[in-house]
Amino acid sequence: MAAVRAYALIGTGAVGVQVEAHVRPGLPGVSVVGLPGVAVREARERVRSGAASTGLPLPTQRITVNLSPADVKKEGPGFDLPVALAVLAASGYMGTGALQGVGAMGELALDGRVRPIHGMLSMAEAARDEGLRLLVVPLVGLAEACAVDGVHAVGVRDLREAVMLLRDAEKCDRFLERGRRWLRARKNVVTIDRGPDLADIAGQRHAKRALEVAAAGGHHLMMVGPPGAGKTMLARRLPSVLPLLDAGEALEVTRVWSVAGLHRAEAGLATQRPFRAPHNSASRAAIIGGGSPPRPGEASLAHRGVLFMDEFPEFGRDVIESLRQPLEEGLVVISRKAGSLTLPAAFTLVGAMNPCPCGNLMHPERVCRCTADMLDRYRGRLSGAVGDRIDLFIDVPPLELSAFESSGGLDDDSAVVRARVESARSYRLEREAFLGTPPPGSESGSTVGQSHPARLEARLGLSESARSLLREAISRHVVGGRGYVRALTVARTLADLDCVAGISAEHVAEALSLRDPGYEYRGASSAAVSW
Amino acid sequence: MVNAPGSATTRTYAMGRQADRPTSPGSLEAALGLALVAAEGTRGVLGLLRRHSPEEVWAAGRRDLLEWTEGRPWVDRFIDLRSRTFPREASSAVAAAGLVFIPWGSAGYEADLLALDLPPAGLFVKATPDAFDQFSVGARVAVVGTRKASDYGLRVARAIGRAFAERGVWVVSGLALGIDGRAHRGCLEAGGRSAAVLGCGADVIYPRRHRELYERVSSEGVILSELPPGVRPAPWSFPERNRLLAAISHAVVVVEAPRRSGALITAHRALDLGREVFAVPGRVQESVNEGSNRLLYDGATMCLDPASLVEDFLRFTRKETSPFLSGVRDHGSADSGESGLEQAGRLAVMALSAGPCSVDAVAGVAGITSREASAALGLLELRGQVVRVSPGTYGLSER
Ligand SMILES: Nc1ncnc2c1ncn2[C@@H]1O[C@H](COP(=O)(O)OP(=O)(O)OP(=O)(O)O)[C@@H](O)[C@H]1O
Ligand SMILES: [Mg+2]
Ligand SMILES: [Zn+2]
Repeated sequence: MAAVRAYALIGTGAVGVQVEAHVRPGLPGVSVVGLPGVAVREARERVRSGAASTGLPLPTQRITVNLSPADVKKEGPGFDLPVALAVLAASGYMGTGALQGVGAMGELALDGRVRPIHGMLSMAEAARDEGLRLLVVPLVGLAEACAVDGVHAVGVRDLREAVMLLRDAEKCDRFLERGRRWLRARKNVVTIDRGPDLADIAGQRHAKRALEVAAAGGHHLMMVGPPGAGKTMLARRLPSVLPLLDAGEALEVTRVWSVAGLHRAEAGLATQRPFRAPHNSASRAAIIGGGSPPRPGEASLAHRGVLFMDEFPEFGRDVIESLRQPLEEGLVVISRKAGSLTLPAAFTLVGAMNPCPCGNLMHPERVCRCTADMLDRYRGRLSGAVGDRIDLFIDVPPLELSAFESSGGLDDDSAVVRARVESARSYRLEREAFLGTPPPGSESGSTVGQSHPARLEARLGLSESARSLLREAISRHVVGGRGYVRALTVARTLADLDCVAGISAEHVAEALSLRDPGYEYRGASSAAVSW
Repeated sequence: MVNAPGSATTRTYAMGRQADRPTSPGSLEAALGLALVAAEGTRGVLGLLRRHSPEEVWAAGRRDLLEWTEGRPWVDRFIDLRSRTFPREASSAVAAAGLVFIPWGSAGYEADLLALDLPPAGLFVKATPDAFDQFSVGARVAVVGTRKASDYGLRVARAIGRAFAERGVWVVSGLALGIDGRAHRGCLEAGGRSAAVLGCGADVIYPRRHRELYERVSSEGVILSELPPGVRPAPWSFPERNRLLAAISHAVVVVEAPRRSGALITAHRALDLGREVFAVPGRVQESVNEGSNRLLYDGATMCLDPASLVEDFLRFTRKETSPFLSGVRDHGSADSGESGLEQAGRLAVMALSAGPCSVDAVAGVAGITSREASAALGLLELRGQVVRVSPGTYGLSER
């Protein structure tokens, strides 16, 4: 009998699985027991032909492979390599101690090549936590596995190499050295691509400023404008002004993307903040995640990045509602037969929409043909828990000629804006550290509404003139309770961008100009649709 | 008329702060009761508040009290006073005096007060909720000194008050004649916020000559005392007040203090609490400087000039980030005429008079930045002077 460690994915995490192989006289064949998924049952065929083409034919005996614990569902082709190694060891191709403290992962091609699989990062982390002596991984996936500190990973091209290095400690060292060289060489060729840059956009300074504010304060953003105004183009550039992923965030992003099979294994860790733009016909499961085996949805794929929802009101009501949990808690919970699964989903939401379903509302020449009911339904998608969490609203007018007559030189590119965003964020942290721990659930983000207004204002450093302007806005019913808190938080972010302690009247006025102007459209619409 | 417990007295103060220490109506009444009884003469009972909550002390039997105090003689007197004190009725008197009671353990009650030998059962406060909230999160410095100050001392006290005010630090003092009053004044003159800790009820104006100062501090800042409303000052109450002054401030600055003076008591209490003490050097051989110079000799930090004093304060108390709080003041809005915002608004209106256009176009025509334009349009829209004629396009309103 021989045994090796393998890993099964559960959400974005992995758990250890013991792969045992037993060879005994009987009808020749391989059977796999212990809750194997379809792909794992098929491993038999790939292992048999992979072994044969490597020149290590399986004995004509009865081979039983057991995967334990039996109650963990094992999915995907990643078990090919560990199953093959256990079988070969049980068949006498390796010494008894060869697999002691060894883990493995990888899919086998029919010719014995070892291919990368999904979720290698999470598996390598689990292997590290188990303190394995050696982790055998596909060579192309070495960068991803080695992103985990303290894991002893060795990369192999095919099954033959795996057997060779496990048989012979000296060979193992040579393969480890090859891996190190391989990683070093890779480092020099990988260029960090930051994605599209703000500098590509002519004009639209108002919208660019809103992106900067959204990035600095982690605010969600809604863009309202006619088709072709450049909303998609703007949203796509938000990741470029967010701070670069830090080491921990890079691990988080890579984990999700790798599990979803969207990460290029040879790329090591993710360097770019994700940008996801699901279509408005997407189902709830596509956004939140689910299925069997459960796959991360768009909300999780946008983790630490941007989730862009073009034509926001066209998304299903259930889809929009399902965003409530990620917006509140930065995660999604998928319930399944075998308990619920938590996936990370902390993203900045950027929505885009037309002023009305037909797009012509308030257009100087064109006529809007939407009924009041249609308008209400359209705008209604913005009310409720999810709409309430969108702090910033901007209008994106069609490109103007004047944008090309660049007044006052070129606008800032993404790197410059990002530097300001980073300084605003660190200013905010400094300020918060000075003020001490806020009462539970205050100030930052969505839970701000739970602080007493006077307390909140004092904490955020509202100046007298700013206060009276805000009071004026309340008394003129321009903002209500929630709008007040939103305006205050946005104004605080504007002050952070200026690195000043006090919120001035200018900050409040600008924050007010970034609020949802919906009511005015509605007021105007009754005239427009009076026919 | 009997108020519902705590209705008027706790008002909005202390809401949302330190939610782990909730104040039940019972504990509010107990704390108020203890404050009343302590003022009647059994101050020793406050010592129990280092270990026990007001509720426990208020409900404790004779045996427990004797055990907790190791048989202090005042226990029976306390029990007697307690049986004749009705905090619920008193709470309406507190409200009637325009005061708010911040009980032991509530969010507005500074945790450092518990480090005192005799922690107050609560604080009676005269202030707007707003001012008190800012006070409790703000940086606070006590500026104290003799009542019989020299011209030099008065001048320096005022300059120090101003210097702290300019950095948004609360100037705390005792509202006394001489140095105290001058420090309060300097602070208020510079548009800062000041707080007074009194040795009499927070509604009692003493000295009477400081009536106008009292009014200003109570309307713009905070007045607080541990004594119930109406209590007149007594010789013993000032040293007790000084310990409160020290505990509520992050550092103490002594300007002109003779040997054996209240200011020195404040300084020593501050040292007991591990606070930084600063002193202003004075001429030797003048009795008014003996105490403060002695502090310097013993290692207090010297005030080189008001500006560097403030810097040192911010550094020592790690309140160097206190500009975070100074923003509550406006810079040159009232007297410098038109604010930047209003000016941008005027330019935006001129730009829009040619016809509706976008934020960026307004900025281009008016010669201001896009963010100035959106702030201006935000203001004008709020006031109904401009409207959005189509998404992203502003126009002057018809009205
Ligand atoms: N300010 C701009 N600077 C440079 N190119 C622009 C600008 N605005 C629009 N464009 C061009 O117009 C194209 C359309 O923009 P985009 O797809 O972002 O518009 P949209 O508002 O998302 O439209 P829709 O509502 O139809 O989705 C862009 O691909 C870009 O080439
Ligand atoms: Mg688009
Ligand atoms: Zn329409």
